[in-house]
Amino acid sequence: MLGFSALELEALQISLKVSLWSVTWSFPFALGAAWLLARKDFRGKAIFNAIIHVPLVVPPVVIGYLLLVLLGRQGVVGGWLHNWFDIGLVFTWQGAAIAASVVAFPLFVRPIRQALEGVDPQLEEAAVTLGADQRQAFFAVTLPIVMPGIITGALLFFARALGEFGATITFAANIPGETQTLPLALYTATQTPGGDSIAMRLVLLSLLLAVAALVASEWLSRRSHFRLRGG
Amino acid sequence: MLTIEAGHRFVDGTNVFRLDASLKTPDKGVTAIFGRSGSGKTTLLKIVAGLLRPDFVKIQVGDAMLCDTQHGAWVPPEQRRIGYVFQDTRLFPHLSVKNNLTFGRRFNPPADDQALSFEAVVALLELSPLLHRPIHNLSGGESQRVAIGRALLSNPRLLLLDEPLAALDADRKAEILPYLEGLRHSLDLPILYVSHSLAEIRRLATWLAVIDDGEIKAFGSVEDITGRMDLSPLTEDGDTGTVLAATVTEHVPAHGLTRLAAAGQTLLVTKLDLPTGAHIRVHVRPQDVALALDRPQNLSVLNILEGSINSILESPERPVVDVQVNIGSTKRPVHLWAQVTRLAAERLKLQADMPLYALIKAVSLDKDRVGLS
Repeated sequence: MLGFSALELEALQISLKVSLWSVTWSFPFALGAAWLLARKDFRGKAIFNAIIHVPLVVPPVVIGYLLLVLLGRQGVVGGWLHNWFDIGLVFTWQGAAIAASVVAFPLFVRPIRQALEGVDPQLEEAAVTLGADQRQAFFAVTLPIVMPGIITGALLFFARALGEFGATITFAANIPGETQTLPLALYTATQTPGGDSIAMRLVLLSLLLAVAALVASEWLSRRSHFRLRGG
Repeated sequence: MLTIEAGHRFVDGTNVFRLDASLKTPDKGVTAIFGRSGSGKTTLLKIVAGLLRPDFVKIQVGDAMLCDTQHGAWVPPEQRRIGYVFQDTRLFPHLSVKNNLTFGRRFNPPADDQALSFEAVVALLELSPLLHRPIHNLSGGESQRVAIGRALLSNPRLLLLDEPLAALDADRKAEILPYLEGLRHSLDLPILYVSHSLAEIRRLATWLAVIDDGEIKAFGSVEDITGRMDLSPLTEDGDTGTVLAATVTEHVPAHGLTRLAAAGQTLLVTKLDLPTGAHIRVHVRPQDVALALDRPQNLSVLNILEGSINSILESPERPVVDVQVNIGSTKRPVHLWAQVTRLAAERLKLQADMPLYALIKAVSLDKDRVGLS
C-alpha cells in the first residue's frame, strides 16, 4: 500500500493499537484522578498529585525500569499475575500500552482537572433539586461541560503515547510484529546500514498520523464547543 | 399544610451559627421568608430542599413526610420534588433554553395529569421566543424566567424561590414581578419566597415569616406582620407601613386617576392598569400619611379618611411618633400607620381614641405601591 512495506505497516498498526487502547483504558482513571484533585480534599492529596505528575519529570527509561521491577515476571505484581493468571506483560503489546499510558497519564489528567475547576459545583446541586442523583448530575451536567478539556487531554495523551520510546523499549522491548511501534521501528532503521529510505518513510507515516490526530481533535473540540454554546 | 422544623449548629472556625426554626404555613399561596443577610433564610431553604442535612429536621408537605430525623426518615433531595429557583439561576450552560426547561423531566417524568404541561409553563412565563436561544445570551430577567420554568417543569410539590430578583436592576425587577404574580394565581402549590425586600413581599406574598439569627421571630399575614412596628428593628430600612386590602371601583380617565374602595372608604390613586373589581393591596408608607383633627378645606390632598387613634408609639430619643389609626369600624378595624413629628403630636395633643382624619396624597400611591391580592 502506497509503497510501504509490510514491516512498516505493521509498526503503524501496533502504534495505533497501543495508543488507542491506552486512551480508552486510561480515560476513566484520568477522569477519576482529575475529579479527586479538582473536587476533593483528602489526606495525602499532595502526594497523590506528585505521583501522578512524576512521569512528566523523570526520564521515560526510569519509568520503564520501574515497570519492569513492578510488573516483570520476578516483580511484585508481575510475579503474582504470572503465577495465578498466567499473564505476562513484558515483551507484549499490552506491556507497551501500559508503558505508554503511565508516561502520558499526567497529560490526560491536567486538562480535565483544569476544566473541572472551571465548572461551578453548584450546577450539580441544581440538577439534584431537579431529580438527578449525584451520579446522574455529574454525567448530565459536569461531564458535557468539561468535554473540551477531555478532548484536549485525550489528544495530548494520544500524541505522547504515539511517540513513547524509552519506557516502551525498556519494559516491552523492541520486537517486530509485537512491540515494535513506529518510533522503535524508526530507531531500528537508523541503526541499520542502508536503512535511510525506510527511516524516511517511517518519518512520513509518523507525521501523517500526528496531523490526522490533530485534525480529528480540532473537529471534535469544535463540535463540543458548538454544543456548549447551545447551537 | 407545610410543616418545617429544623435545628442545627454550624461551626465555621470560631463562628457558631445556630438555626432553630419552626414554621407551619398553608398549602397554597406564597409565604415570604424575610430577614437581613446572614439571618439564615437561604440555609433554611437548603434544608427544606435537602441540600443540607442538619442535626434535627422535620419537613412535611401536605401528606408527604420528607424527613424526620427523630424517626430516621430521610428522602434524598432528588426524590423530594421540590423546585428550587436560585438567586444566580444556575442554568446549565451546555444546554439550550428548551433543554434546560426539560431537564427535570429526564429524571422525574410527569406521572399524573396534574403536572404542568411544557406548553402551559412556556405560555405562563412567555418563554417561546427564548426556546432555541443559548443560555449565554439571555438577559438577567430572561435567565430568571427560564430558571423558574425549569423548576416548575420538574413537577414540584413545593416551590422555593431564593431572592430571584436580588441580582436584577430595577427595570429587570419590574419585568419579572408580573410573572411572579401570575405564577401565584395559576399554581396550586405552596411557594416559599425568600427576600430581604419588603416591597417585593407586599406585592407577592400572602404570609410572612420574619427570620433573624436563625430563628423565626414572627409569622402571620403580610398585612399583620408589616403593620407591627415592634418588628421594625428587624427590617433593615425601617420600611414598614400599612398594607390595605382594596378593590378597584372606577377609573377616572379624565384625571388619570383610579378610585378604590378600602375599609369602607374611598381612596384615589394614580391610574392603574387593572379592571374594575380587581382585588388589590396598597402599601401606604407611614411618612406619606398626615393627620388632621378637623376635615380640612381647600387642600390639595385628595384622600381624607375618617378614623380614630388606636395607639401611639413614642420614645424620647426619637423625633417622630408612630400613630396607629383605625380607619375601619369598631367591629372590623383596619389599621393605618401614620408617622408625624413629636412636635406635631404635642401640638395636636394626640391621644388614644381621639377621632381624626388621615390624609394621603394620591401621588404617593402609584403603581409601585400596588399589588394584586
